[in-house]
Order: sequence, then C-alpha cells, then structure tokens
Amino acid sequence: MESVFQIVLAAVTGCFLVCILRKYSPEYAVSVTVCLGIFILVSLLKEITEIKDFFSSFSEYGIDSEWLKSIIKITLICFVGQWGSGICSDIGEKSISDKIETAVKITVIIMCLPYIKEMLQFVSVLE
Amino acid sequence: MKKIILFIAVTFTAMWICVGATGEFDGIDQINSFGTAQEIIDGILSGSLELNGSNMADNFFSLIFSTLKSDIPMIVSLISCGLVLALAENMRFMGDTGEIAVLGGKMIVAVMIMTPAVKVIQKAGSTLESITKFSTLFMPPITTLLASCGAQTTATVLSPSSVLISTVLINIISKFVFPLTVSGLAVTLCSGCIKRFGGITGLIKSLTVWTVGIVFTLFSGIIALQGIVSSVSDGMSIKGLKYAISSSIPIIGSTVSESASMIITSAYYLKNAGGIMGIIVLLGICLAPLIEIMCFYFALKITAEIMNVFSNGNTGEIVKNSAEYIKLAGIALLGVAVIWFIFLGLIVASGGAV
Repeated sequence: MESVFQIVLAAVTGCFLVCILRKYSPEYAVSVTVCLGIFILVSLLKEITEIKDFFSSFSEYGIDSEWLKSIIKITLICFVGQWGSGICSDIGEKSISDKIETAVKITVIIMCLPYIKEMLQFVSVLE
Repeated sequence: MKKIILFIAVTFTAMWICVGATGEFDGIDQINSFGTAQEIIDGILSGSLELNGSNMADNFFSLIFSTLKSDIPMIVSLISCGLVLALAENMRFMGDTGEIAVLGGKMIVAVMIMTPAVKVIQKAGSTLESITKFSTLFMPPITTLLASCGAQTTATVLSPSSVLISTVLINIISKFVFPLTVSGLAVTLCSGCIKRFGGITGLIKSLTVWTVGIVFTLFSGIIALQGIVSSVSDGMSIKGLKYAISSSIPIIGSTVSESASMIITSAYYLKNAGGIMGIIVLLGICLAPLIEIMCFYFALKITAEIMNVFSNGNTGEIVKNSAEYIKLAGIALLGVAVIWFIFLGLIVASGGAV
C-alpha cells in the first residue's frame, strides 16, 4: 500500500524534473528516467516476492505449485523484459529494445520446452 | 441324470466364481464392503454375512466424494493458473512479450489438463480390458448353463455375439475411439494456444460422436434381434422334445417328460443366478471408472465456469472444450457397459419356455 504512494509520488516528481531538465540538459533527463524506472522496480520487489511466496505455499495444502511457479516465472520474465525494453525505447535505442524482446521470447520458449516434451510423451498413449 | 446335470452346472458356476475371486477385477472391491467374492461365499456358508444396503450405499457415496475430493487440488491449481494468466493477459497492452507470456501460460495449462485427462482415459481403456477378461471367464459356463436349460439355439446364437462384443466392439472403442478422444483433446488444447485448429477439432469431435453412435446402435440392434429370434426357436424345440418323449416312450413317457421339465427348470434358475451375478460383477467393474470420469468432467466444467469470470481470453473455453472429450470417453465406456447389460439381460430372460 505504502509502496504505491511512494511510487506514484516519485513518478510524478520525476516527470516534473524530466520536463524541466529536457529543456536545459536532455542527457540528465534520460538519466532521471532510467533511475526512476529502477526505483519503481526495486520498490515492487518486495511485493513480487510476496506473490511468489504465496503461490509457493500452495504445496503445503497438497496442491502442486510447480505449474503455478512456472506461469509466474514466465509472467515476471515478460514483465521485466518489457520494462527493460521500454527504458531502452525511452532512451531512443530501438534496436536494443527489440533485442531485449527477442531475448525474452527465446527465454519463454526455452521455459516451455519441458511442457512441449511432456505433451509429446502423450503420443505413446495413442500407440 | 438330474444329479449329473446339477453337478455339472454347479461345478461350472463355482469355477467362474472362484476365478473371479482371484482379484482380477479390483473395481468391484471399491463399492463392495463385504470383501472379495471368496469372502462373500465363505460368509454365506458360515452364516456370518449381513447383507444390508446401507453399507453398499455408504461405500458408493464415499467413492463419489473421495473422487471429487481428489480432483479439488487440480481445480485450485487450474483456477490459480487462470488468475495469473488473466494478469498476463492484461499485460498485453505492453506489447509482444505479454502475448508470449499468455501463450506460455496456456501451454502449461494445456499440460495440466492433459496429464490427468490421459490418465482417466487410460483407466477407461483398462476397464475395457477387465470387461474382456471377465467375458472370457464368464461366457463358457453361462453358455453351458443356457444350453442345459433347453435354450440351445440362444446359446448357439449368443456365443458368437459375446465374442463379437468382447473383441470387435471393445477393440473399436479402445483402439479407435479412445485414441481419437486423446487426439481430439490434444488438438483442442493446441487450438486454445494457437487459434488455427478449429476445423480439425470439429472434425475429430464429430468423427468420435458418429463412430460411437453408429457402433452402439448397430451392436444393440444385432443383439436384440438375435435374442428375439432365438427365443422363439428354443420354445419350439423344447415343446417338440417333450412331445417326443411323452409319445414315444410307452407307459412312463409322461413321467419322464415332466422330469425333464423339472431338470430344465432347475438349470434355468442356476443360469438366472449366474446371469444376475454377472450383471453385478460388470456393474462393479464399470462403476468406479465411470464415477471417476463423471467427477473429472464436472471438475473441469466447474473450473471453466470460474475461469470465465475473471479471464478475458479463451482459457475458460479451453477447459470447457476439454471437458467435452472426457464426456465422450465416458459415453463410450458407458455404451460398452450398456451393451453388456443388454446381453446379460437377454441371457437371464431366455430359456424360460418349459
């Protein structure tokens, strides 16, 4: 709850600062944008860990949480990747932004490979 | 003569009961609170068996609820995954990475559904194997009893029918319908991830439905027709036999004819008892897997409805469509059981024209 207020306050202040700095020193404006992004992500780390721990606790109730962990991992990888890609776009590095997105896609595909393999094992049922 | 026929009939009946008691058919133990068939017979002989319906009903309901309870972790896991997927779906505005997160999540949900679904369908397949084993053990003695109670034509006609059911019908279901169901399920789950398999899904589903419909209509028709025709022939041959005995044997002809009627009636009662026991054993073999399939179907349906509440995408639809294939597998198994019930019912009903 508090972190949301912190994030919003920091983001609004940062936006004002970026607007002012962009007129006089654009390179500092970019640095402020990047720092603001890092601050927001670090502020959310605690919440993200809480979510992860919550779903991990499912195994205590006899529920297989491995599937959930995988989905959460994929979602977080995409979230972080999109965040990095967004910052690169803000700086004006569209090429690096695209590469980050490609890296995220490849990572997700690699994470899904065991599940594709598991699906293929069902072919033996058809024999 | 009467004693010899009774001895043969009792020996055959006892033979298949003992074979059935060796634990070949575990399904019946799940609803049977009185132990194995061997223990039941021991209980009857010693007079210690208390047959009451409440024990059976308790076991029946505990089987339903334990199956439903075992499905709850899967429901919770699927709903939780659906929740996370709904969050990922909301990330789509961020670009391509959101799309790939949803695709990966759907793939995991697909494997989550596929794993228990394939197990359930495999269990249905092994139930069909149990039915085949049971028919192999059950049919020779019951056919002998059927012939001994004067229904030779019915025995002659129904014996190939039983082979037809236990080989052709069960092979069609286990070697064609069940693999088709698994394929349909896989294609449905893939079409949920990549929306380009809609046509193939529909084709496989209609192919399965048509196959099941045609096969069961054909088999139930053949069996019913054979039963009607052979029972008329049996009645005529028994009456002819009785007339021949009473008219050809001088002085004691009518007495011998009445004695023959008594022997046939005794064999008829034995055959009926065997037939009804066959129906009960068959019910025991099929009931547990059918309940499991039914519970799994309802679990998927409930999950799909809950997922549809918070999911913007088609995750709920994937689960819902998968449930339809589980229903098809259940219908196929139920169909085989019904055909066998009709068949055993015919055996019980035939041979009464003394």
